[in-house]
This record gives sequence, C-alpha cells and structure tokens, in this order.
Amino acid sequence: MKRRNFIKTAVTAVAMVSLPNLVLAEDNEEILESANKMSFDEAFVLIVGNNKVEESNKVKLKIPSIPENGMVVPVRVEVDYPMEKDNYVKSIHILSTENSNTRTIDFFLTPANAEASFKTKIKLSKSQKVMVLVGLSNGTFLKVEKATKVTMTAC
Amino acid sequence: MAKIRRSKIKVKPKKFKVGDIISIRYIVQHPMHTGMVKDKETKKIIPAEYITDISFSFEGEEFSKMKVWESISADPSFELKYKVTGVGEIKVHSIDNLGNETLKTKQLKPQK
Repeated sequence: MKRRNFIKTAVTAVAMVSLPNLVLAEDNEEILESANKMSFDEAFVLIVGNNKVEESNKVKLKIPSIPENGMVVPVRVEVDYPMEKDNYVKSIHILSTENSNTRTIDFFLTPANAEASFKTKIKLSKSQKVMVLVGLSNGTFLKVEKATKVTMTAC
Repeated sequence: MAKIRRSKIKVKPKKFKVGDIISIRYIVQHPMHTGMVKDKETKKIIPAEYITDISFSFEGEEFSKMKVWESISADPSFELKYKVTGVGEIKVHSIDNLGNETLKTKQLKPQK
C-alpha cells in the first residue's frame, strides 16, 4: 500500500479533455464506477492466488510512456519462454492499476500458439502503472510493469 | 435485435508453410461502452456494451481464448501467434455482455 501511495503522489496532474458529445463523469460531480469494479490488489490476488510471482526480464512489455490518446493505448507483450507440451505460457493478463476495473484482458494460450506474444489496445483512465502478469504451466507467475503519463483520458 | 458486427481475420505473412509461425490479427467493430460515460446531449449514461469473450479455433479445436473487459479500446484488435499444422479453417467467435455474437472464419492455405 505504501508503494501505491507513492505512485499516486508522484503522478502528474491530468488534463481532462471533453470529447465531442461525451462528458466524462467527473464533470457532473458524480463518481461512476464500473459494474465490474475491481481494485488492483483484488485483481492481483484473483489471478495469482497462492502462486509464486517473480519479476522477470523474460517478459517484454511495450507501452508508450506518454500515450497520445488514453482511449487507444497500444500494448505489446512478448515472453521469452518455451511453448512446449508440458512447459508453456498459459496466460497473459494486463492490469491497469488505476482504472475502476483494473482488469483489461486475460489471454489464455496453448502450445499451439508456439510463441507467447500478444498485442492489443486499451483505455487508460489516467496516468498509472500498467502491469502484466504471465502465468506459466508450472503455476508460477512472472510480472513486469511500466508507468504511463496520460494527458487525454478515457472511460 | 441481434447486432451484426463486422470483423476481420488478418494473417501474416501472406505465404507460409506447415510448421511456420504466423501472426493472426483479429479486428472487430464494437463500441466497447464501459457504462461509465454520460452522453452530453441526453445526460444519460451510455449503457455498458462490450465484448466479454473471444475464442480462437482451428478445425474445431480451440487454441486460444480471451476474457475481455470494458477497458479494451473501441473497435478492438488482438494479435497473437499460431503455428501452422496444415490446411484448414480458423474460426474466431466473440460475444458481448448483451449476448451479441460475431463469427468469422478464414481458410489457412499453407504452401507446399
């Protein structure tokens, strides 16, 4: 929890941009939450359970440090790990640590993928760290995270 | 009323052989409404409408699946890898929180 507070205070102020025909909830002084609201800590535990989690440089996370548009942030994950029958990357989870629902996607692989590589685009509500959790077939998880500074926000 | 959404499966490279690893990119038309945004004109919340699950299979056998949440960008795209095992059909099925489904197929024709 200490680290999260540090991140919160270290984050720069975000300029809220009104999109045509849409008003972000904060302008009306109501805080809208996702129906799937889940904090980072809750999502982390849900995904990892009691399994071991290690920081790993085998997981490459490519995400712009200053995304041009918080509605469309490209994320690319590449894991340097075999994809063999009994030893493979089973899942790749992308968590947006500060979105109302921190889960963005859970990608489940099989050895047929042959490479643990994944690309998609996510929405970030504000500047935050994005964390990738990689689940291996042996039960351990690898993790990596990157900070982003979002000036044009989403959801 | 079921909504028909356009989707595409793009395979790279264009020419490949059995045993090669190809890149599959799935793109689907979808607003991915989070249910947390108000329409400026109506002042009403745009109801949540987003893809929840996607399944990728080859000749009827699932090789990848995704649990998708509302934070994925509108008109989403997903790119993954796949090792070609022979001639056959790739099928991608997606469904959203309202039960609307999209199905797209693509024939894989590896070179000899």
